[in-house]
Amino acid sequence: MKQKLNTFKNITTIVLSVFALIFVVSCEEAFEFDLPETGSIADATLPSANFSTAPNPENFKIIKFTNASSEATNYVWDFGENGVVCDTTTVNGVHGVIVCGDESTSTEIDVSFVKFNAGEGDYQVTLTALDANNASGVQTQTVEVRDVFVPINPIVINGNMEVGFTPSWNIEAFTDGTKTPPNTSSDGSPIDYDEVDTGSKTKGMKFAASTSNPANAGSRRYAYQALTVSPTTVDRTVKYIVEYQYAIKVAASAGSNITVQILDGHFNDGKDALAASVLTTSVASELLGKGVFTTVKKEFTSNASGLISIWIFGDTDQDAYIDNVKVYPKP
Amino acid sequence: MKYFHNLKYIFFALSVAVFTSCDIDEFLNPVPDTAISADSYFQTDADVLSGIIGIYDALQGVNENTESNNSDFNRGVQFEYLLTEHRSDNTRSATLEGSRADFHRYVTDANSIQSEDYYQSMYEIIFRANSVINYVAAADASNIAKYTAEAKFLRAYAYFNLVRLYGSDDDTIGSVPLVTSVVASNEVELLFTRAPKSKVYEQIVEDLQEAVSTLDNSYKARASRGAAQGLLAKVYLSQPSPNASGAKSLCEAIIAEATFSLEGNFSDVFYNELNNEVMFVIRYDFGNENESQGFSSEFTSFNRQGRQDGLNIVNPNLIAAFVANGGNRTAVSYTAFGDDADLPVPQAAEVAKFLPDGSDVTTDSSLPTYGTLPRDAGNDWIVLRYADVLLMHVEATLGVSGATSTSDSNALSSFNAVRNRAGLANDADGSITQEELLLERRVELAFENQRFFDLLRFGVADTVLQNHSAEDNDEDISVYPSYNARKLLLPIPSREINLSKGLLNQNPGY
Repeated sequence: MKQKLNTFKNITTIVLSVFALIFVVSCEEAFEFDLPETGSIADATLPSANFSTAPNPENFKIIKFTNASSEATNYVWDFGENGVVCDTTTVNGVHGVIVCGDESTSTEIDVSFVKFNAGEGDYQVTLTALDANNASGVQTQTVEVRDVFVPINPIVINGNMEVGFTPSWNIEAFTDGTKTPPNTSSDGSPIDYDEVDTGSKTKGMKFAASTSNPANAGSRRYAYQALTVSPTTVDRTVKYIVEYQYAIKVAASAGSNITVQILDGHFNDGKDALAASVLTTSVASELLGKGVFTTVKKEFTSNASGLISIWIFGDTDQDAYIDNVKVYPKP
Repeated sequence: MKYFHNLKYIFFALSVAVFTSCDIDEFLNPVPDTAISADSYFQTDADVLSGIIGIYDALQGVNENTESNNSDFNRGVQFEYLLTEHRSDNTRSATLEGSRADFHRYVTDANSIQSEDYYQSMYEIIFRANSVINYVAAADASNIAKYTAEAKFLRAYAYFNLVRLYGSDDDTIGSVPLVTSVVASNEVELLFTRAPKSKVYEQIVEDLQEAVSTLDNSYKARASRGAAQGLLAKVYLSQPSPNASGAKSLCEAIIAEATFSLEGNFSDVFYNELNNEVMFVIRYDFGNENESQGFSSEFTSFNRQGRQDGLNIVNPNLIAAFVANGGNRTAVSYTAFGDDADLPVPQAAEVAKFLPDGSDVTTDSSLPTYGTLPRDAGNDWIVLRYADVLLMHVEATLGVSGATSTSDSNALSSFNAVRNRAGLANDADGSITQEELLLERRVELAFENQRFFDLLRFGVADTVLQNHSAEDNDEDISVYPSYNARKLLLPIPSREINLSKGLLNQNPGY
């Protein structure tokens, strides 16, 4: 029995030793001559960073960055202390509203909206392109942020008053009033729309006593035309000029006038136009006589929507004329 | 025994004979008797000429109808619409199935079989041309210059396509490998190093200039002086620093020479082969599967004749452009069937410029027919035609003036010639802007694989395609969110990168 136990002991010892030997030897010895990188090929194509930029068409302070790096998988953008990364979200059902955070770095491939709040200037932007081996390429570019804003130059249809005023100068409907536009007239300004003096009178728009009496609202006539201009936003104030020429017969009683207004919005019903908020009002009241035209220019600031309308009416007991109505960006 | 005694002298003599007669080089590199190698092939003028015809064979591409296997079959120009029209705002695939439907959605990757095949096809043209140039000395002395110029024209054509589709502007990335001599497969540095774009354009210009000065106008289906002039004008306008005055004088030379003229009837440009307007065409034979093309059948969808559900399907925004500016080109350019036939702007219309022989698409709009062998169509592929040159003349004039519009009387007469042929009045305000020119090119050359390159050349590709793929564009029926500016370049095919053992790099974004 003792002998048996001894044998068993020996066998156990031997087996354990062999196991131990295998454990010790297996890893070390089996791969003794194989280095971990055996058979791998060095990465010959290393990342190179590059990008292009384009300004946002609606806001010059916002720049779009498009990645043009090659042989890379990860990217780190650094827009410097002046640039913040923005994104578009939906606010109150309006899609594509740009909301800016305070981060000036990003790891996205492309960054579509980066705002440089300081406005015009040159900013350093750095892109680091990395591959999976953490090899990297870096490029720094100077991004020129410039305001090349060109405001919309609206076209006033039939602004020279040469043809009939429907459909150019009439309002579509008029609750408690008339939608008939003012009268046409052959006694307009001798100056053409392009400011060339023709020497003889052109056609114009006429407000007669019967069509411009505030006491008779039902037959008082209004000229209306909807326009679209560049809106004024938080980042930019856009100023426009409304210009026209007028003449009022000398015989008119003092205080007779033609009023030109720029209204906030577009309207279908004259009643709503009368109640609308007004961006600017210009009252022309000099009584210099028929055929003697005076040019008036009035500045106004566009509204947030960019939708405005011209609204013209008279308050006169003798014929009054208006011609060459223009709206253009303030030079 | 005496014989044996002498035998050692005989052995000695024989061994001397063997050693002296053996040219070591030829012994170790014998010219095979049973196979033809390039070295043994080019012996006479006729051999060189057949080498030239071999380049045109590469240019022609292989009809898919001959071999259904998709990979690496040298389809060449027969796949070109996928890489160009589909990637512009002009056309799309009818379904989203298969890798052919990747191009119009801007999701083509480096494994695209069609892109890989096109890339290889262009290099097939280049390598065959290089081979002819290398062995041209076997030709008759009087033909050597002509053959060389012809091979160089074709090489330039292939490089021009490659550099515009695959070549990066960024010199650290490079454009495409520039190989201009016969190379062995182990010359990997030469085969797989992407040369700077300007370098490739220099080579193209040099090759085409040689073709312009050497060739004459004997052929339309082979290289000619007119074709070389027209192609060179386009190259001048496309290269990184455009040479507008060079392009202008080339166009003026073509116009002044009056070898080519506009066809009176727009339909004759496509259905009266080798007409006066075409300047360089790739010819196909109807019914002969080895010499025919398969794209005509792929352009059908309503009563489909091709192997796919319909490719090059016309986008609504192009149809809107046709409705406004097409004139009599509209009916020749596309047709719509079934319910779409009644819509003012069909949502799915089909290309009608390359209908196979025997087609009838007008009698019954709900049952178009396409003849007996639509998959072996014989319609030639037009690489360059006179209307293109006239519009390039306007483009070059604009480029020379540097202004945003031109009222130059010669440019106007070129522009109006194209408009008048389409049944449209002269340009209304007598001044042509870049937008007007681009629109005119779009409707005149629709489905001729010009639009994508036009957008690139005019510098508006990103703006136009961004808008085309955007969510809020209601003129188009689909949205392609994968589009970004990097998609203007195709990826270098993975197969090439693998063969290069890591020498070739990839374009950004792939």
